[in-house]
Amino acid sequence: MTNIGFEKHLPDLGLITHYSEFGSSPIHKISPWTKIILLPVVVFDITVITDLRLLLLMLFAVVCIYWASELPLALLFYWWTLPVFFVTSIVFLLIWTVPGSTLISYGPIHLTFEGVALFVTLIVKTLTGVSYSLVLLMTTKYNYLTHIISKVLPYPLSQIALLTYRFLFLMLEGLESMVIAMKCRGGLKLSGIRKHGKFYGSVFALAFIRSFDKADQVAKAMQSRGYQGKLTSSYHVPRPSAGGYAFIFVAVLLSIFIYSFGRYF
Amino acid sequence: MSNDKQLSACEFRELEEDELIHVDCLEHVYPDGTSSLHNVCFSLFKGEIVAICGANGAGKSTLVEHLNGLIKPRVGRLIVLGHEVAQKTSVITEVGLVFQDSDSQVFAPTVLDDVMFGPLNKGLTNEAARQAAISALERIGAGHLISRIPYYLSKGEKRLVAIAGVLAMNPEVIVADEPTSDLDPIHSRQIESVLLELKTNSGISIVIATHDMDLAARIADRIYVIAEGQVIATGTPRDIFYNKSVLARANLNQPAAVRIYERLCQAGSALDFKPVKEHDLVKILEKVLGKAQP
Repeated sequence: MTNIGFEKHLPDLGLITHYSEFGSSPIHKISPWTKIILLPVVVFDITVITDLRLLLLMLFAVVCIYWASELPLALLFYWWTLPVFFVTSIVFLLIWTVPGSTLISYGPIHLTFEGVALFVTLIVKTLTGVSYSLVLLMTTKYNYLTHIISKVLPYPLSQIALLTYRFLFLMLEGLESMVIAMKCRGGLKLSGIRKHGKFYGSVFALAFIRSFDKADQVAKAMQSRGYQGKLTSSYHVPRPSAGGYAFIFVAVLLSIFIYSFGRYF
Repeated sequence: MSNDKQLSACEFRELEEDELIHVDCLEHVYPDGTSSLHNVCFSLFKGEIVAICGANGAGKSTLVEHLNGLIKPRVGRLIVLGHEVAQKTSVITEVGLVFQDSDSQVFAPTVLDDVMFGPLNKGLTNEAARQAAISALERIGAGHLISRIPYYLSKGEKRLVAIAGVLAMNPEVIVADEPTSDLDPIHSRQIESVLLELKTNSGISIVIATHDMDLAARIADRIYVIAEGQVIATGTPRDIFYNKSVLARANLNQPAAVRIYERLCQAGSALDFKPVKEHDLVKILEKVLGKAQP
């Protein structure tokens, strides 16, 4: 777990792993396979569903699962700010071009009801996906996740995924120590977006350079133990229970039903 | 003690009996032209612990990486377990290398996966590799770490896992680069006793590269002093640690026991035995103070 965190709205990988390793909620006890299989189902649903009411219902359901997993709700709302910012930055210009019933006009530019609905729909879709991914990461032990990654993803993606997740922690630790060192010398007393941007830019650039050095050391360490392109995970992951299979079956059926008949609602 | 003879001329030596690693006239030049090793000769015999001592940048790590075949000798000769190491020879299963930065070495998602990594690369089946990993972790008293993820390990625990990672490959030799650097005294002692146990109970020969003279004094049977890429002296700890000029040339300090002994001698105490380890010094002091057991 990181000590200070860069900002509250950035997901803290250490904290995420802490919840996944030490949590004991009923959701933690569900088979990792069940939770992983449900991820593409959720992604499929948020892709095909266009009805805002249904999407809000899904988001509510996912937040309830998050809450039932005994995970910190307040933190989830902080973490939402980043995807909301991301979607807003992309959709903000788009919503002014959607035809429909006008709500506000600025000369030739019109903000329509349909434009606002599009914006909200995209936000809800994104938050549903992000929240379910967080539930998955925060309730599934890392050992299980890596095993599933090594089974599911093709080579070399599985190798990249297995190595990347481990070294994200190291990179974050490195970043954190650099930020602390710079703060100690008054680095964050700078005012203005430009100066802050320059500060964080130099920190990230240094972290990037250091990561090359680290990659070189890791490669040496792997070669010294005979690495030949194979990195595996050895853990046994419990299969879904009968209830888990039933839940997956119902979720898939429901998705197909919504996809086929959703337009009649 | 063989001193500066090596600096002028270097000749290939005969391979001796029980010599596990034999290095003759090794040279290494970095791509930018910087010479990091020059005419280095080195030997490791069965069942001994050898310390390569030198200051930062002396060339210890480069030499250590040669011993595992990670860097192949371009000039000079490296013989491991009787086989000359050429560009395509692999000695990774015979010589295990423990790196200074355990964070780089312990890279797999979990401790078990990391320790299994070497045996799997050796061609063992999943189950055999698993057994080798469990056995290696238990041999060094780290069995409790098996299901942990490396992120949550302390530096000392990571170092233990790194040692288990090479031990699981069942090597004849373990080479450890700065095995106790960055560790607190308790973890340093733990790593130290693990290395000594591996030598005593498993007959594994060990090479450590270090600038910690107290560590070298405590566990090494022989010392190589390296400065500016050259071996400037070899000998027993007693030979080396009472030779101030060699240590000064290599920017190294004497171990605490030797410094205290020399201060006592300067103060007029007549001590008949030159200690190298703290343990020996304590015995001498007990004798001097009349507290020795009969």
